Amino acid sequence: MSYEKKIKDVMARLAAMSPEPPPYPEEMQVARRQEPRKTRPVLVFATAVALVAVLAIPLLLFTGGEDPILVGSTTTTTTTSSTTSTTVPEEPSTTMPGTTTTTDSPSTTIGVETEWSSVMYLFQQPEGGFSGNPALIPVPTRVVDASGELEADDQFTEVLARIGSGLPPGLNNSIPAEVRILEVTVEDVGGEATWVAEMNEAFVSGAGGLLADTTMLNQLVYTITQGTPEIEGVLFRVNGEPVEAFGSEGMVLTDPITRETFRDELSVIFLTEPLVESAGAYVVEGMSNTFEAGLVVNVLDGNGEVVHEEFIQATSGSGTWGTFSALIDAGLVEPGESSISVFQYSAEDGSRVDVVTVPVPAGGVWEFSIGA
Amino acid sequence: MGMITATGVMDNEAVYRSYSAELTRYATGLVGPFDAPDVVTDACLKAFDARAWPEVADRRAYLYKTVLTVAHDHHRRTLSRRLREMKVAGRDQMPDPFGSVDIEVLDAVARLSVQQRAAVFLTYWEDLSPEMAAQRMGVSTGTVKRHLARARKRLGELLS
Repeated sequence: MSYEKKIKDVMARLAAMSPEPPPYPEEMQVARRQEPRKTRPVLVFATAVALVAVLAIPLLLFTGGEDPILVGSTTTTTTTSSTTSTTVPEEPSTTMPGTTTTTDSPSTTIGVETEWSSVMYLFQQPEGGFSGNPALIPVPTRVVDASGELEADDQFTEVLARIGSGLPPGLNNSIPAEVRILEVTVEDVGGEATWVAEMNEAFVSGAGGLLADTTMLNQLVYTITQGTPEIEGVLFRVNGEPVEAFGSEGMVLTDPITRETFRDELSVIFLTEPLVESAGAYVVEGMSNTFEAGLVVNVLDGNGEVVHEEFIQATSGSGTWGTFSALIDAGLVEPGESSISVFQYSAEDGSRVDVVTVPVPAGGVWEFSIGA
Repeated sequence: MGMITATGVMDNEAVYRSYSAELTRYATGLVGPFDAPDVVTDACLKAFDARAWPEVADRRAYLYKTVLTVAHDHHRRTLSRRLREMKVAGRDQMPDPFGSVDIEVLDAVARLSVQQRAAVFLTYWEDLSPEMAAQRMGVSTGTVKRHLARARKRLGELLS
């Protein structure tokens, strides 16, 4: 079969996997048109309170003020009418949490949960790390915001700032809370498709130290370029201009930064893809620059006991970076309690060095609840 | 519902019924079978909500472009992640609501960017010329040719 025919065959097989079209999204369309684009909960709450006052006063006068529950349910119905009652007027309570609560808790009476999910790169200080450099760890994240302020297309810096210090155990963030990605677009920079990240002005101050600065840049670059191997560079701009002096050392960032630019400021073992776990088997993928390209992967149970050890080989080592990708079948480990360590044995004394340990969350995703 | 209005313009439901199947196939080419329905739904909502929508002359082309835009936002590592999950779990253990899932094909597609997938899908499945594919994607013919060349190179290791 010719090469062209092979591609045609691949596309035909791909088209054959096409599922049934989804149903016409009429209800969602109506809901979307009724819904203001940027309604802040505080405004909804204020409107609801005003409407409650208008509607409740005559009712209270009529009933002699003996039915406080009616006030609560009126609030719910009134609030619902501003968002979803046109689509499901017969079941207002199913769309609103806490419909029987009273009006003293805006989040339970009028909050509409929003959800954000993606992968963001955090870092860990490896145990026994020779260089002292941090290791990047990609973290699949799902955030549920009870206040409804977080939007699905918010940048991950917004999410990091809202999560604050409540990160998964052993993981850290070098991006200061006031730093924000405002927008990320793709542009032609010097003939190459490049991610252009428009940052706020707090970005130029860096993270407080050279290593913290490069770690921050690595977190940003790895997160922005995830899943797009064909777009390698990220050009940072502030107020539309490339950054000529960044961080504590005044680094010049006028050219795009790639995953390679500050790779030597990372530990010799780090992960490039989130851990994937299923029924005691794990996929571990990353980059390393270890002695003779050798690595060890341990699977640990909930007590931190090693239940499985496997030696793997990266594509390069001993001074050059290589990649590793391993399928580790550890047998059954209690879900949600395991963790994975990747390290090398010291050529000098046989001790475990450059140890990166990543807890495996239940379901493979770290869940956060904010705005409650 | 689903009618042609007095002005001769199809309403949204009629547009949807006409193109949803091919848009779903196209989205499958861009993001795989699992996420294709979500991408089509999101793209249609986005298009129907757009201020320019009532004035759009070629609604089919507009929807194709919107599917591509939404797919680009959506795909960020979803397909490759799903693929890795499937590999680690084994095909039999994965829920497969869409019938057959061809893991080798998804593996091949995961090597391409969304733009490259669009160019390859439109060229090799829809049999469109680079000019027509460019029109569907809302880019220049040269860009489509460049995407095709890069896609062929990336698929080369797998298919040769």
